[in-house]
Amino acid sequence: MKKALLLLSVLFFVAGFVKAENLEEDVGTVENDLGASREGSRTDNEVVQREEEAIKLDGLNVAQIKELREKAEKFMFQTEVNRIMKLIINSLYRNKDIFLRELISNASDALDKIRLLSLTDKNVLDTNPELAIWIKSDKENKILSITDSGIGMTKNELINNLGTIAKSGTAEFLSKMQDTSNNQDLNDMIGQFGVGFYSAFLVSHTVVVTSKHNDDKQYIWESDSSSYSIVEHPKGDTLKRGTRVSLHLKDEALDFLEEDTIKNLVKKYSQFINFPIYLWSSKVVQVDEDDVDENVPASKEDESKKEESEDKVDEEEDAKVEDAEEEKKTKKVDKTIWDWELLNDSKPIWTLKPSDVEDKDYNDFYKALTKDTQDPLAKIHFVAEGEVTFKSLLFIPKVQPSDSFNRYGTKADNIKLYVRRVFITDKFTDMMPNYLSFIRGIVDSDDLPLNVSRENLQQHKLIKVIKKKLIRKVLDMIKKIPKDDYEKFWKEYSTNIKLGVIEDAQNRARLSKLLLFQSSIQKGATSLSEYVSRMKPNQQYIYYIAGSSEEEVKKSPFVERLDKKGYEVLYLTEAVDEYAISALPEFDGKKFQNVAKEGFSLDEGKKAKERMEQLKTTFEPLVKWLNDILKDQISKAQVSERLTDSPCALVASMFGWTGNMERLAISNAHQKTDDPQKNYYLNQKKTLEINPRHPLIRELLHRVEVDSTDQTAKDIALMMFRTATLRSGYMLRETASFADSVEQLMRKTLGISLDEVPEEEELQEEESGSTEKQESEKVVDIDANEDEQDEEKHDEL
Amino acid sequence: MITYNFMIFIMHILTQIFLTHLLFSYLVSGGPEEQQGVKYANKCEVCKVVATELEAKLDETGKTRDVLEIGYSVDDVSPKKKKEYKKSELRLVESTENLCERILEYNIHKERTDSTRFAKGMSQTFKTLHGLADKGVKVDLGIPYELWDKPSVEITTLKSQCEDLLENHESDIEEWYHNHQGTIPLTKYLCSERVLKNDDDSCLKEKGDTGNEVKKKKKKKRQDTKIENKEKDVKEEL
Repeated sequence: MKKALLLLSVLFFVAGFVKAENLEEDVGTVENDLGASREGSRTDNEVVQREEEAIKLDGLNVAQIKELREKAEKFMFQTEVNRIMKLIINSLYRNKDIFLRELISNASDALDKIRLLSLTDKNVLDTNPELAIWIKSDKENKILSITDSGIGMTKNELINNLGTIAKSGTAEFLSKMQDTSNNQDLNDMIGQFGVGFYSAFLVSHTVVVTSKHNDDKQYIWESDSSSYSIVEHPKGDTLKRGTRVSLHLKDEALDFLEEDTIKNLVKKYSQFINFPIYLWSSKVVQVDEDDVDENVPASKEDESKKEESEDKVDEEEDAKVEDAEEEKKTKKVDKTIWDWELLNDSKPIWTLKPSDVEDKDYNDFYKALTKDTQDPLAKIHFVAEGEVTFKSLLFIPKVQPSDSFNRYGTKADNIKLYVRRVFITDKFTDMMPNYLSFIRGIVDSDDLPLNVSRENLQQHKLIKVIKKKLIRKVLDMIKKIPKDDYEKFWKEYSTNIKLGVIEDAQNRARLSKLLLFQSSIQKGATSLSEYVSRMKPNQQYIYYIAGSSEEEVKKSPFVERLDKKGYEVLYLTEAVDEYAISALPEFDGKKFQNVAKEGFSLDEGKKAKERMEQLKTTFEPLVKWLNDILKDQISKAQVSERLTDSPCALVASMFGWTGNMERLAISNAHQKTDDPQKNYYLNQKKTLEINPRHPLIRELLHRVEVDSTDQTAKDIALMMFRTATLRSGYMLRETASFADSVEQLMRKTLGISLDEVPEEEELQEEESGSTEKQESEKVVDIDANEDEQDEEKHDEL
Repeated sequence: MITYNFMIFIMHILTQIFLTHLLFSYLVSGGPEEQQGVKYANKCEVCKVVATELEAKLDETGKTRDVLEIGYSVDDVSPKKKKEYKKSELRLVESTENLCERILEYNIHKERTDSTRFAKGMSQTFKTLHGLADKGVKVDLGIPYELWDKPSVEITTLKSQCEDLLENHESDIEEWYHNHQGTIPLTKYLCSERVLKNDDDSCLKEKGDTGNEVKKKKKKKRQDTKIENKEKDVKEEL
């Protein structure tokens, strides 16, 4: 019964409100002296009183209320909705105040929708041309209501939007919510998933939604959070168009009825909503005593309850009376006036001159726009002129969601598009390239046609021009990030920039200036231009090496000599690095050289060259011999210019794959099983480079010169090839035989005879023993073979 | 979990981008690659190709008489600005975007040595080889048959060179587009006077073909069977 009363009280509230609106135009001049802030929302004491009356239960008797209750259709919430409500209520009880933000944000969305529709069909606004949000608190009945003149909901939409969660992301949202330990994250998330409405239950025991859509009648939706009911509004279309959410506040949430509380919350969360937000509020002003007398005659109140047309006549008369009496100005008295007070300045921030906007406002706007709780890392606010004129305000968030790369390419653009201050869409997929999808902000253009559908707009050619300019501006903004902040930026977005280098050929040079890499000389990352500025006078290339970790590349044989000679080498340790560099033809006129590939030579003057030639001649027999005995494993052998400590290394051909690249290619989960191109590259033989200064190589040369059929030399050569393979970052194909040879070495080191076979396990005779037996026989066979080989080697030794 | 997904994603990039063409464009240059039979386009050749392609693309986009309606006013009452598409910024944007993709239609014609070695269409050499392979001749180029027609490293490099030139000389191109188009040829304005200022621009005068002149090729046919590229030794086993 109590509920029914409340419900009804809302209905009358509605009715009263509508009357008030109708009256606004006709009300007299009481507030002429109240100042500009109250312009456009005039009312008078009579309206107030009428509103108060309306809230009370006149008109309907107990039986009628009962009837309404019985007529209402009852529904159960979808299971997911129940879970989400419980989650919200249990996890956000400390942040109750977000409910207002969410409801205002929903109201704003509804207003955006009707405004967008009105672009193609002006008539949709006929039902109520004013687009705004009204907040009203009713302390007596403990009700807070938020009303918008937005698109409204039909009965079906009420069921679908408030009773089910159809969005595909629901499951994702639920699982995320349960994962997240941080309430702040949750707080940020609920708005994004469109479940903000349910936060109303943080503060209310009952929520009543009255909604009127142009295509349907007005309905009342009511819920106590466990189930809900829907009934046609008995008084018809009192709202004209839009939605009112009335919150029947819990006792502990009564503070939200206070004017100051509401004002502060709107300021905190909703000041950038692009529609006016009004609060029904009181103000003490001084007025002429006579006016007061004139304005509160009890008898008039009674009359005004009757018919609206009569009201109007009354008001007009009032106005005349007031005009006439105003001149008297006998005596001033304090008087409380109720009125719709505008809470936000709905002038969009991006339409202001950048010089007129404080940083704090930008930050607040960013937070309101993104629901991020931190300030942005960087921002840019500009007007682009030329063929397409547009204003834009773009931000880089401090962090990007950790799963953003899983969604890479699915194009969730975070740019809101406005045309002449009218919000069009934020589902636009073509404003930013994939790699810049982390950019948040708005674009507002005067040059796009309003009367087209989103789909057409998507294809609108001028978007291309806008996109091109936006990218440039974003890159500009990134370039201008101060050094300290840039480190933060790089930590968060390095992969994006590297992908940009790969994907966005039109801006590759610009992007390359943003790259940072670890280097052999410097602590901390270095940019390419810094590298170039440190290059030795005779250095022609930018040297780099790629691998899975800094430790690995530091110890790579390929950097030995460069290190010793003091050349700087860039360490590419992220998976995307080697691709990104490969996409760069050059930087500042300097080409890149992967030190693990052929084509590497250090220009160290004539003498060095002569010495090298000499070494080549000396080692020619060994090179020839290696070419012969390793012809199945390598493409060729040659004397190395890059080694100092390691005996040899495996070098990729100029256009082949390095070990790092092979590793990445093989571990690729998304690939064809039998791609000829991949197989071709993986099976390319490498060049074996030998270090002419290394004792092992010298010894080998010696042995080969003495006897080119030396079996030990052959074994060692094979062994060296294999260790070089590993050292050079490649994967070894024949791991078993490599292990065998290592084990042989262990035997030698430990002085164990190569003939000694492992003890045989006592075979346990079981029923399934026959297969096992076969296997064990095989093993024995292999062992025997190896023993034979071993013996041979032994003999030769 | 994140690393794993990241790997998958990187791998995705690999299959999508890398395997398709970057593979061939391991970018080293200057000298060592020439030992391997690879000769990249020089500055002049790059500029020539870019200018030729851009003018061709502008010819395509310049045919329309479309008018862009822009400059709506807030109240939609005051007259709209109109701009001929032909003179619009948009046409230039549309003409330069993906311009360098067209380079991939080029092939290296090893039978020629001057700038005309970069031309559209299949090179005489490869036509011959394909002809042989079709007849059942076993032709071993050292690369799988599937990769024969993939763009070679010179071509993919030319594509990046094209992109670089467009990016670095964007303002020159814009200036030419808005103020000198139709009066000064792009090759002169962009290449001779700017990109190749103080450089050799003789390649611009080399009148090769761009893929359509069949006669010249026929003369050279005998030469064609000689293949310069060491990597691509042709072993014909009949």
